[in-house]
Amino acid sequence: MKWLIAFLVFGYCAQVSAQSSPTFAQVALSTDLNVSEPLPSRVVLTAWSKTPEKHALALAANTNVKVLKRDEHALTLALSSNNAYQGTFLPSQLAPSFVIDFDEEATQPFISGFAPSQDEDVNTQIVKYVSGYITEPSYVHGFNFASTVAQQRSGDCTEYAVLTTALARSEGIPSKLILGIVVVQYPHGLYAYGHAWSEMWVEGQWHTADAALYNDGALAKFYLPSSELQNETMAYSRLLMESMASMPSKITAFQREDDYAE
Amino acid sequence: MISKKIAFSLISVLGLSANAHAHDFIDMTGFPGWFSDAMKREGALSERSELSLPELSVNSEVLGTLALADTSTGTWYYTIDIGSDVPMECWVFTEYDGTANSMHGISQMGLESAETLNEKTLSGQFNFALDVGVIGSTAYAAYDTLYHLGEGDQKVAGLMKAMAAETNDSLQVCLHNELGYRNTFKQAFIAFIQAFDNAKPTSAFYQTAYAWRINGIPVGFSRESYAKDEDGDVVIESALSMLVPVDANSVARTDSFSNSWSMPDGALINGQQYTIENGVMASTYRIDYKDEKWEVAGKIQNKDITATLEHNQWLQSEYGNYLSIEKLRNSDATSDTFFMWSPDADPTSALEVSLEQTEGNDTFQLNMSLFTFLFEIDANNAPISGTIDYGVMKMTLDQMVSTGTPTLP
Repeated sequence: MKWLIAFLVFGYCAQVSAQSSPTFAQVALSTDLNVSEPLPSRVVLTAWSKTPEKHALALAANTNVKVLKRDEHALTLALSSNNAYQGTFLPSQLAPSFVIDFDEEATQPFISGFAPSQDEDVNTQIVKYVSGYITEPSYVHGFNFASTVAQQRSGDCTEYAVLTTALARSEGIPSKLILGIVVVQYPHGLYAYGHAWSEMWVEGQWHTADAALYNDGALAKFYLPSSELQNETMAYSRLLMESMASMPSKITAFQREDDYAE
Repeated sequence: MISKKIAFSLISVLGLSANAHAHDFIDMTGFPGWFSDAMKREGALSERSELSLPELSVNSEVLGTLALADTSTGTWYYTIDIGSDVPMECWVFTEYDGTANSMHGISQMGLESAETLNEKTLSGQFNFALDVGVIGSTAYAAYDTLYHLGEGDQKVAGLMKAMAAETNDSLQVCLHNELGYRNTFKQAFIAFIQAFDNAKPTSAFYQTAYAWRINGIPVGFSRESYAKDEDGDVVIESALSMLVPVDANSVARTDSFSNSWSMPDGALINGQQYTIENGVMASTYRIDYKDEKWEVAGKIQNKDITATLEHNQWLQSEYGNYLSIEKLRNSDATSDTFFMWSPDADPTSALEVSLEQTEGNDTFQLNMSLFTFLFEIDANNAPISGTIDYGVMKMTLDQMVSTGTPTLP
């Protein structure tokens, strides 16, 4: 029974490469919507998990997601594709950590290569830079620190998010790493995937920053957070695994908010 | 607490048999007839050869016509004619990363050789099949890759079959690069591994191996060995090898090795573990009890870690888990709570674990943080099958083999 807690975040990510789809990341999604038509900006869905109470707690500070109903095994949620919400930040969300180690020597070539211009939002430029910096998208990695990703230049959504969070903090922008599910509408269909992304605090609001899915051709995206990587110490993997275990296992009743009747 | 010298060695076990069902990722229905026909080919395997490797105490018969093609310190390279156009190739290593990483590395090397031989560039590769099983008491893994070389009307397809197992302090990896011959290759591999499996007696009083599956796909195996040392304590060696198909084209490779000592009452004395991921040393950990504290040292992704656990009392060993099950089974109590050190979750603190008897006398659940491992046990108090839910992933463990009983003789 030695290896029961083996690290299992392999491939738990939305598509980061046009060449392949992740084997274990796709989350079952059911909807009566015509997914070939444009989606509304606000939707309602039911997220099924083992720990809906914990999930509701994780969503409490996110005003972009509203809990409409709680059941023993599911939450019914309203969320927006706007992906920005009011909030405050903690000093730790500006600081280097064991995982977000932008202070490490190995991370410096990556950090110093970022030269933002005045022509565009810095958060957008961070996302573009990280998206281009990772030259080998790959699902084979478990969960790598910023210094490791900066050297390997390879990874999936977790590595993109780690690097984005690190770069934002190095630029003095509060940021955090979020784990959850992204519902993505592509021209060929609507999909839900396990995912990780970064959030940056800019002008009093938290904004989603997703370098893994930057410029991916999606028609619409809805980010459903499940947990935040609050422990960035050596004990990070325990929190990651707990996040995995509490992640919604399926999404049902994905619908327009206007059509929702309690 | 007694301080022990910790050293790694790999288990060797005895026995003969093989069981497993490969998971094929690619449906052959839409493939051209000539391709499907080629995939159905098998060889006769009527020849037998003697395999003699005195350095590893191996002297046995194998299937096919074997030849030692090359050797260097700690490495032997054989070719085995199995009745196909291309011979099967087998490597024996005494130094290696592990079943998953080494097999994948050799398979990729085989693809590079195919590029050179055909003077064409690799234009695509796809996970074709994964398998785990046992030969005697030795766990093995198999990984087949369907590949393309060249482009357009110059494109050719191939099937790189790979199998690997660790026996007798050595790793055996075999390749066969030809469409079809899947069962022939497997039978020849089984015979090759049996030669090593038979070679070394074991001092372990209990050994077991589990097949790991995610959503029904075989992704690896774990194995454990328990032996009594000269002081009457328990030496525990365990290993985990995983090849997780993360997309259609690639597998994530993990090999972990752990070595620890336990008191006869199930208390951990000390331990260490290392993990290789995708060919890179991902982590090393060591825990010792010094001055009435648990001290941890190691590296994660090349960063040094040191920590003193807040918990300074009893930590339960893997051997202790079997004793806990036995205790619950033979008493009126239905649950037990204890602390374990699980560096994969958190190297810097002890993990509180509760063990509960759920229904009947043979069904238990182990609760660790948010995880619940539901399992059934056999007459030896060892899990025979179990499941853990990780969100969209359901992981199952099935005992493939066990020898002895998890009780000190």
